[in-house]
Amino acid sequence: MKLYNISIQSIRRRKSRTAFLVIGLLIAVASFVTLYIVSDNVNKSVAENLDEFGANMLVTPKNDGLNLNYGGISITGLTIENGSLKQSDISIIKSIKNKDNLSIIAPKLFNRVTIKSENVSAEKNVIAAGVNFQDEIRLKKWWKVSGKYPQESNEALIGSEVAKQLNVILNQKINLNDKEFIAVGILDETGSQDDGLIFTDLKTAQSLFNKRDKLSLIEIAARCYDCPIDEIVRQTSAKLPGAKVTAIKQSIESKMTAIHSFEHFSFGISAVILVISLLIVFTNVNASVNERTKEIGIFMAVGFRRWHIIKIILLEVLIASFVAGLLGFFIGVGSAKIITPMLSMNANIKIDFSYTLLLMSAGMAVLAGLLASVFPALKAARLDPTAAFRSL
Amino acid sequence: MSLIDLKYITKEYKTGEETILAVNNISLEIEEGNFVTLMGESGSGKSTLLTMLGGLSKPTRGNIVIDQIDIYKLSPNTLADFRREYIGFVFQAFQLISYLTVIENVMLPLAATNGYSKKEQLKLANEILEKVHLENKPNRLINDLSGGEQQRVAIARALINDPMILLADEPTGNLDSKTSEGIMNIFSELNKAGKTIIMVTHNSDFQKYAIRNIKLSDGKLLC
Repeated sequence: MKLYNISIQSIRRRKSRTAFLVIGLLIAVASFVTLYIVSDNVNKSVAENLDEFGANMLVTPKNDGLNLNYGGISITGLTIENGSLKQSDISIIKSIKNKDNLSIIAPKLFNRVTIKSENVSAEKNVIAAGVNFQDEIRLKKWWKVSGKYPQESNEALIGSEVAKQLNVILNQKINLNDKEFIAVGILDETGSQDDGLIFTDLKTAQSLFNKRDKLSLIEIAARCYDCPIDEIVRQTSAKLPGAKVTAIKQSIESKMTAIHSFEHFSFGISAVILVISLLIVFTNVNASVNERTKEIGIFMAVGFRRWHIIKIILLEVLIASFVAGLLGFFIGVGSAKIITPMLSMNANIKIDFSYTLLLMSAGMAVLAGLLASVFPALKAARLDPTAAFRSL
Repeated sequence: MSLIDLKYITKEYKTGEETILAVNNISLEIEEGNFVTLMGESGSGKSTLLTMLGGLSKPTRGNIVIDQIDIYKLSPNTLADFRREYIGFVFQAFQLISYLTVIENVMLPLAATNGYSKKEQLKLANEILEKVHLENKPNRLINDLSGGEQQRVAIARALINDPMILLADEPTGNLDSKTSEGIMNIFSELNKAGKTIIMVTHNSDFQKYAIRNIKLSDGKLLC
């Protein structure tokens, strides 16, 4: 007979009391695990969606030239006349170590063009931007267009300011450097530099401006949830020594603020659950100690030291908490698998089995159990034997 | 030299504003191998005296010396060890652990020591169960036993550490007369084998088993 035999037999043969203790902690652990997995996945989902909402990196040529304020950043190295970035640079960017973090790569070629149309009395100079519309639309989710996005090489999208000043209307024919385009779409006002641009297909623009394979800049939307953007900037800079790679800090910070707000909310809920679970265990063990006054009196009468009594109580809680931690983990993972797809914007999120989370759950349950039981156990050990014996 | 020496023992309890004098300045010596009955009305201080003798309740004043050890000068841990080695308790309501089997209850005091292997513990417990005629029920749960059987388990538990002193607080109080006789016969045999027994009882018929009968009234010794 050892002290642990007493704890084990108490757990085995007082099933309802043990079940009550286990269930109390199990609910807490399961809630914690569910919330942890759900919030982690929803965070990722939110982050992914936010990351695709506008660029957070800009690649521009290093050499000086005309300045352009693009996306709130003054791009001092932008040479509109001689784009020094090449089409092949896109493939190079896609080969960085953290390539999987690159969500959208949107290359652009800017050039001054002469525009002529029926509604324009004289030739005017505007800036045209050659873009890959597929990437551009994914990057600029806030764009709203009257008409449609260009699909053919002779179709153009007109910025709202350009349309207003030059009286360009939908489906009107316009001449850019003497090449005819149809204005199939007019961009609603965005409040950005896009309002003053005319957008055409990138390849068409390269051909029109006689700048085959040349680019003015590359906008990148990188997933920065689990990778520091500075690291992606560093890797890209290393691969493109002739380019200047800039992180758009303002964009990153606002996205991270949104993500961190959700994380803080989750941590707050988890903390509340943890406190509740501690109270449940404390109440349970405390009530158990009160019920066991007689038993504790017997232990004292047969010569148990205070530490022996503490050990018996804590060992019971430890075993029950460990079991609750394991069961809570599996129930939590199961619940998360049901709940996550309902909350996440990405239905394809996969929940992996995490040994770390399993250990964390068991550890947290044991720690919470022991923490909440220390006071009742000490109280039991300090019980006045006379008080215990009055009940004998 | 006496085994037990009580010197000017007083025990007061406080219940709210009121102070109750449970034991009033008792001095008493008990020789080794004695069989003493403590008798008296309810509230006369018998059980209080017994718990003080057992090292479970410190007297308000006075000293209790057992085997030349002033027990309430010991640290709490040493006093617990003293109880385990010197004292065996038997209570009126048996006070067994309901979720342990018969043999587990008997071995309970050994859980607090490292002196015995599991095999030795089982051998010892089985020997004692044989003495109290429960050798056929070692794995029964306590609630499956009759009152008399439960009290015999309690006696076996009290004897497992081979204590010098057996303290019994109305051990037959919950038993019928036939079963009570059986229990008293066990005590008598233990006393003949050299155990010092101090027993609180209301039943004057059991005085015949004792060597010395002590009466208490209002916390004082009458004789």
